[in-house]
Amino acid sequence: METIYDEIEIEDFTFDPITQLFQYPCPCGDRFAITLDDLLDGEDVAVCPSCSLMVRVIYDPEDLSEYEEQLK
Amino acid sequence: MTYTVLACGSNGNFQLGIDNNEDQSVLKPVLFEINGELTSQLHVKPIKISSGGNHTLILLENGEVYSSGDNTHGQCGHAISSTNFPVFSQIIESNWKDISCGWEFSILVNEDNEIYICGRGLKGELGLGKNVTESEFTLLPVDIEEEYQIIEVQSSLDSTVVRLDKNRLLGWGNARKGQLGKQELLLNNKLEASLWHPRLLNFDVPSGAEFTYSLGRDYSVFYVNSETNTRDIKVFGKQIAGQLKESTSQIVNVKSMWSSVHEIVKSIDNQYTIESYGNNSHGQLYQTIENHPNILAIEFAIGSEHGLLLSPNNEVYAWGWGEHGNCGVQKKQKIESETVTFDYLNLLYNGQSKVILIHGGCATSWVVVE
Repeated sequence: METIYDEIEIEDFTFDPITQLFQYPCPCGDRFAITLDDLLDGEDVAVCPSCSLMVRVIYDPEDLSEYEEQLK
Repeated sequence: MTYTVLACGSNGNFQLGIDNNEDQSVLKPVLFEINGELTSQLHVKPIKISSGGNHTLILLENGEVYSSGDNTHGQCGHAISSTNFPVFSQIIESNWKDISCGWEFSILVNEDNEIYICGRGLKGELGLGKNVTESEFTLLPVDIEEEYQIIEVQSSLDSTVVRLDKNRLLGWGNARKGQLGKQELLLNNKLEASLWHPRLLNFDVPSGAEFTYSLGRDYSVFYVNSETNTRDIKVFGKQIAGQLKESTSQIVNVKSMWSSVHEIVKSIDNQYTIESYGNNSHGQLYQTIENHPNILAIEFAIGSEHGLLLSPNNEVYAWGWGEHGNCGVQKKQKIESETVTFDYLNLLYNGQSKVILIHGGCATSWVVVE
């Protein structure tokens, strides 16, 4: 079974409107990442490109509209 | 007397300072560039190591500071034109007395009680105001009325708490969860998300009381040594599961991983051990690991999600999350998905040289020997 290391609120992620990535520090030194599209699709697990740790993103679907606004 | 700094673990940005960027599961001597030559032998004692996400600072007894790793945002204290430092190189001299690293920034304090800051932070980490999110080495203006002495500085990923004399605490950075102490609520009933400039903080520490503190990822934990209560631990910010359990043990010290708190406690029969609470996804909680002893040596160090312990026999053990080699080589037969969890004390160092300092960083482990 895959283990979720922790749960992180969406407000704690940094959002980059250019890459459309939400990122949050991973204890290995790299960053957990998930795309806005994934969140819009209901996916809520952000993964780290350098290790096996994963975090669940805590958010309400209506939270996402403010980030979609940033793309415009 | 010469000293060698040994390190292992996550090394993708040269943060171990061993002149390569491969993760290491066996301790390696780190390299210093001194007078244009590379050496692993120091003639001055290292007294503190501090780790950011991908960079490391080492403070020596004579006030020199060396840094290695990622310098993309100037967090190694050098001009941003060099993106990384594969071995430890000296930061500008200033009779430094304390250091601390956050995720992508560093803080240095000198004997004149000046605070210097470098690196990047989007949430007030630099303390230089809302418009400054990246800075090369800069003196931090501190606007408080009375004079002060700086006793110690600690940083989490994105906030800093400086202990001043007279039990005053100064801080800045991310405060959204209350990790920078009691704040007045804003008009919308929320906490101020970022403290953009240094200000005095309120962590309910009585004047004159002895206390110790440690910063987790999004909380700060304070232990106040009061005579009436043997377990006066307060967590400010994100609450940590399990923290309120009662115990008759006496707390000696408290430290924090990113998501769990670890107390060294002395029981009625004068045995020391570590009591932990919080996230246990990868064997972080000391009492849940196998072969955990009641420790005799009080030396322990805490990394992002792993811990280190120095035994009375001059052995260093690691436990917790060790995916990058920071807990040594996995010795248990495990299914592949569990090899990153060290739910037992794993021997990291048992050499002849005397261990004088241990430190845990972001999936990195450090042992300083004579």
